Parts: sequence; structure tokens; C-alpha cells
Amino acid sequence: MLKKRIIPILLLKDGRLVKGINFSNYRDVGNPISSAAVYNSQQVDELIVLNIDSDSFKPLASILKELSSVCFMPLTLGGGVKSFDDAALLIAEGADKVVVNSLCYEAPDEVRKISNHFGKQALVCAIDVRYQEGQYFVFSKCGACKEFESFEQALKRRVSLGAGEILVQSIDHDGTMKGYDLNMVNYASSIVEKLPILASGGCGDYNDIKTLFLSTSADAAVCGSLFNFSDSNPIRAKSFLSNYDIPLKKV
Amino acid sequence: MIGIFDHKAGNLASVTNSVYELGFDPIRVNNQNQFSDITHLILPGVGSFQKAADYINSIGNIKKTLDERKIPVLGICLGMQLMGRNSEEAPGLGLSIVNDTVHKLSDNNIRVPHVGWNTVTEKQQHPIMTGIKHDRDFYFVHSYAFTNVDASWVVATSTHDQEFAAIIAHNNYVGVQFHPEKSQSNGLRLIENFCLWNGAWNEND
Repeated sequence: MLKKRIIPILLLKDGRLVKGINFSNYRDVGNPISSAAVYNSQQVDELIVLNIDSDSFKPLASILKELSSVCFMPLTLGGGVKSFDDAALLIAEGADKVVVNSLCYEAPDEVRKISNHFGKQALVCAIDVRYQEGQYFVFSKCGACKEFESFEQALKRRVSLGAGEILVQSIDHDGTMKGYDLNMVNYASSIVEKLPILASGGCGDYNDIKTLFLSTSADAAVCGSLFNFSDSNPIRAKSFLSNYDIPLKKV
Repeated sequence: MIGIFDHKAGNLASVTNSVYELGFDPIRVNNQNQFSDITHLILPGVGSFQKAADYINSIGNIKKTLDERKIPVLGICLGMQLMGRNSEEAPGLGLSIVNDTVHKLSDNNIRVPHVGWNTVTEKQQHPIMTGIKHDRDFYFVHSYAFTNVDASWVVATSTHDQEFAAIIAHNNYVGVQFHPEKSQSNGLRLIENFCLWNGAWNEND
């Protein structure tokens, strides 16, 4: 049977890895290539690398060759993808899947083109949300731009553009290490019934991953701060979770 | 030298890297003239069946050349699907090494695409699985598969609400639905086994 995934997410800014809180106040946390190599040696399930340099795709493109030479696990790359050609470049140089978010609003036809050409399974559509005044609002451009459609409409938009997986990120929980926004994950799973859901934002310890898998149907736990700021790693996360009947990769 | 076929529909970097890291000599090929240099051929794949099929068919009857020289061939994901007759995904003719159609995975009870790590269960022995423990997980990312699992060319299966072929084989051809170049230690072991394989295998050995 299909296993649950634990996926570290690396944010790239000015060629360095960074981590922030609520999508701001980013701190340097290291070298992307060495971090990826360490995760590879720890047999991590997958790695997401997002470029958060606004308006520039170059930082990600420039480290691509080296990144894919040290990673023998799935690589999901994105951030600042502005066209089909950008996506094609990522895939040609080693990405298994491409992540898009703002492109769903700026140039939806490009998103459809990526899905049609490479197949749905190569396209992850991310959605970033904040919980305000009793409801979820959707933001693009790394949390800077509030979109005027509901969470439900935004999810459906991504499905209709040919997404293979949906990456739901909570801006409120991001970097707080207080646990995932379970309501957000459950809501997204109820609207998007047919595609795998990756949950992101707030993971602070192994218990948070356990709670995510036991109380939502999320297919993957995406972790940012967890492996950067605490004495933890994917191997120990798996050992912890193996006590709770959660199906995980067997090597 | 291990040939990596560039059918313009995918990611060659990962496969090339893994062959190189294992100590073999990878070379990208896209026409039959280059086949005289290679000892093995890998057909990788991300992308659409039609584009890849059209490209392969446009460069002439590669199956004839491969069979004459008995070159071992490994098809990965889309590369494996190209070994079929055709696919529900799009028009285009595969190589018909196995006479079967690739079908869409059903999403009636489960989320599709099938993405992530899943168990590969061997039904027959094959040299590419040498030294790999039984029922281990490999990385899958696909929406289409060979769903006729009773055929003699099915070496291993996996299940995503329905059973489908994870590994198929016929003579010097072997296909894997998962991505060994992304399946870390077990995947790399499989690629290494392939690069050392002489292409000999019979159904139900």
C-alpha cells in the first residue's frame, strides 16, 4: 500500500537556505547542496526546494545541476516559475515535479500547458492561506498578494488547471512550530477529493506529524523548521512514527 | 557504455547521474547510429506517451537493432509504458514488446496520480532484483499502468486500490513502473544490477 511521506522543505534566497516565521523574518540556515546531500544520506522520502527570491528564477536554476547530482530521491522544485519553459528547464535538469502557485493567477494557460505536456503527476500546485475573521484567505506571491476568491474556489482552480498534487501551506502556522493547521488540511481534503494533499506549516515535533496523519487524510507531512531548528532528522521521525501504525517507507 | 535514450519527453539528468555514481559510463543517445557504442540502453520517462512514442517511431525500427545485438533494455515509468502496444493516455504506438495496453488507474476509491513510496512484490525472479530484499518500497509517480497482472511477463506488482505491474520483462527487455533513480539504495542497486546484466531471461524461470 502507498506510504505516507515526510518531506523536508528548503527555502532558497540569495543562494542560501533560509527559514522564516509567517512567511517573513527569514534567517540563514545553511548551504542548499550540503543540506540536500545530508537528507539524501538519511534516505528522506522526498525534498521540496522553493525559490523565494521575488521575481527571479535564476537562483534555483543555477544550483540545479549540483542539487540533482546529490539527490537520489524525488525532487520537487519551484518558486518563481513564470512559464512553461521555466518548468521544462527544471524537469530537464533533475526535477521530478514542479511547484507553481502565483502562476495559477498570472498565466493559468502556462500551468495547463505544463500539466498537458509533462503529465499531471509532474505538477504540484501550492496554495498559501491565512485564517482571518473566521475564514481562510488565499495569498499568492509568497504571502504578499491577497487573492479575491475563496479557499474553495482557489483549490478548484488548481484542480482544473491540471494539478497532480496540492500543497496547502498555512502562513499563520509557518515557522511557529506549534503544529499543523488541521482544519485547513481537512477542509482542503474535503474539497479536493481526488488528488494527493501535502500539508505544510507549523510542524514543531514528531507528535505534530503523528497528529497530522492520524487526524487528517494528508498524504504527506511537509516540514520546514522541524529539521532546521531542533535536534531531529527524518530517520528519528520515522522511528517515532513506527509506533503508531502509520504506513511508512520500508527500505 | 550505458546508453540513455533522449526521446525528448523527460528528465535524463537523474538517470544519468545515478548510472555515473554507480561507476558506469553513461552516454545520451537519440539515433540508431549511436547504438553501436552502447552495451545497455535505458529508456527514461516523464511526460506524455504520444510525444515519446512519436519520437521513437520517427527514428526507425529500434526494436530490430536492439534485438539483433541483444542489447539489454531498461524502461523506466513512461519508458516501461512505451514497451506496450499503446496507452489510454494518448494516441501513439509503443514498441509492442508486451502486447498490452496501458490503462488509467481508477480514482473511484483512492487519490490518483499514484505518488509516493509503495511496496513492490515479486511474482517471478529477475536478475535486476538480485540482492534487494522482498516487499520493499520504491518511488512511484504515475496515473497510468499495465493492469493485466496475470501475464507471464509480469515480474512484480504493486497495489493502489488495484493491482498493477510494477516490473515487466521479456527476453532482453525489462520495464519498471517506479523510478529506481529516485528510490535511493534499493533503486540504485537495481540500476547496478541492470548495468551488469547480460540480457538473458526467460518467463517463469
